[in-house]
Amino acid sequence: MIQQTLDLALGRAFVPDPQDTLIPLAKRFAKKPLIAVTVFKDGYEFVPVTFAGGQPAFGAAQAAAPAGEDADADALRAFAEKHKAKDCLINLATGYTAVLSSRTRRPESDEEAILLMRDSPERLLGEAPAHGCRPSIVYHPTHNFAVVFHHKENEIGSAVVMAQKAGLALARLQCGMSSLLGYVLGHHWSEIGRECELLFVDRSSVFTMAVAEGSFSRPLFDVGLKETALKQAIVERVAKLKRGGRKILVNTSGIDVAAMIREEDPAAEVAAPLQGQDQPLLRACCSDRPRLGYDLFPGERTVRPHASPQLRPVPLLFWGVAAAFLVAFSVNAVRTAGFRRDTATLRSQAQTLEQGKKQAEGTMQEVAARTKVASDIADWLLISPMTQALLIQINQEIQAATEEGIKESKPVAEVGSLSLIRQEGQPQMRLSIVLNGDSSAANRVFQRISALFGRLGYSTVDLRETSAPQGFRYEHLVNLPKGGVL
Amino acid sequence: MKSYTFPAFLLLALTGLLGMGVMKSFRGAGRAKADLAAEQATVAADRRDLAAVQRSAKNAAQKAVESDRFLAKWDAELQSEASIEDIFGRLDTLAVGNLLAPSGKNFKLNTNYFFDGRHLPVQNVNISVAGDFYRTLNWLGAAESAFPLARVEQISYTNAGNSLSLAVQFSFPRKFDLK
Repeated sequence: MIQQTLDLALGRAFVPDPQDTLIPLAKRFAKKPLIAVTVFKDGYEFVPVTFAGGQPAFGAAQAAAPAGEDADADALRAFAEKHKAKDCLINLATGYTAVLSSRTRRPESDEEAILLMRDSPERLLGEAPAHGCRPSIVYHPTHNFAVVFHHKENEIGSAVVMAQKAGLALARLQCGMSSLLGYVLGHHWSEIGRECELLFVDRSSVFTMAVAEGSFSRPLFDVGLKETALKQAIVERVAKLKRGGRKILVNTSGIDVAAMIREEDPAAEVAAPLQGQDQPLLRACCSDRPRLGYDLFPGERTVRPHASPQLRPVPLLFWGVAAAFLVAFSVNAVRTAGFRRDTATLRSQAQTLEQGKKQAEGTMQEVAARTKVASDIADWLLISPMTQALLIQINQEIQAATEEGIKESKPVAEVGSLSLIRQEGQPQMRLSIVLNGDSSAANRVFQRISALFGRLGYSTVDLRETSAPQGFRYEHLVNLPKGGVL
Repeated sequence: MKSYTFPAFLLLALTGLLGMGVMKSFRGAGRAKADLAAEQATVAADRRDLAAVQRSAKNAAQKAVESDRFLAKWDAELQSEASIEDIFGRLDTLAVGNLLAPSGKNFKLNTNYFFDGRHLPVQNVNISVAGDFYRTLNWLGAAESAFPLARVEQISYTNAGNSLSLAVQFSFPRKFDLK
């Protein structure tokens, strides 16, 4: 599955496998050379094949006499290397028999025909194939008749072994005469008319058969003949041809068979549809029209499946999106890196700005703190007026009260104790004074002191007078003048 | 065709993943761009804030010139009144200079002195001097001049026959930067 996915992605799936018999030969070897090997009873013929525009083109043939299995393989390998080919097509020109059959069934498709002929030919033959043989079938174009060719498995096996020893892959293995019959019926049916006799001659065999619009006659054949025997066989077959009829001749033997026919039957109408074309049997083997060529190779080939052209958009889409991904990923990676770099720079700037902001805020806080400290000190100083001055003024009032009492000949009071205590947290001060003496004298002194406080802006909050052991105690709670701060 | 049905779907799935990768790539770049734009906005705002704060700081510094001058003037005084030994020594010297006899010297740290709506640590210093009334007045005035930051918290004159004594409690501020 992974391999097939890779093949599809890389486009290999759209290149036909050279061994895939379900693909026409012209497609498989459109860009690759192929070696055609015709196997005769007395030798081989190697021909290089190329395909141009779906049509086969054949190069110069090279004949080789049988020289043993390994020597034959070496010769084939050398020929293939010369033409840089790694695959071969084998055309069996010997070892076949042909019979007429009305039991055959037409396959529903070329694919079914190839697979059934390989795996269970009896389903198409209508009977078991001959022992030790593999069949090939040529159908009547319109009626349910067919010519069944049987090929000896040992000869097929020998050909396969030779190709394997030569290091070549076997692209197709066919019977040349069978292929030629199918090719003529498929491509030249209109030339056959109502009735016709086919005469196919190659360098070692002759094949004749009468074909009518609705029937086949029994096929006659002589295979594996030397030159003299071949001539004799041709003479015999020509002599047995129906007089005055239409003949279709395919002749690659080098013998002037057409002249022999006209000599025997001057009224005969001889058509040679493949005249002028070299290698008509190989051409028939290479043709996949109108039906895909059969294959006598008995084994199952391991081939890479061929993908339908409908799937072409899939790898194109995949690689297109992959390319877009790479481009987008690269471009966006660069863009993202640039954005992140710029973002990092800006973050650094933001940190610097934040530090500057904190520094400025710190400066502001420091200034505010210093201002507050200065304000606090100023407030502290405001609530710390000089006490000495107040005591001097109080003392002056006490002296004045004493002098006033002496002048008016009244008793005077004497200060027993005096204290000034500030009230913590309040804008207040408590004056406590003990005046020794009688009530009027003590009161006179205290009244002057109260008057002094009033003049200085103090306001009385509480005033208490109690008796002391030798006089009176006055406790005076006053508010400090406005503007004072505790 | 059938052989390549699943591989084709697999390739299409991979194509979809790659397509999502493309979109993710663009989304990532878009996020980075948005982050950059946000950071640019932040930096611009920070620049404006910094300029405003620097202006405020400059104004505050200009306004604080008087305070700084005031603090510079009183800084030496704060330093000189920091040591209790120095305070007692100078009070004694002043008392002797005014022919007074100092006694009852003690001190106590009051961390919760209530002042201007908050608590302030102060050093309470108590001292008594005995002698002539007017000399005590002079001594008190001299002490208040020598220690301008000291606050006379309470004074108490006691007259016992021929002996006059003055007990004074001073409060020396210890910190002014309380919050």
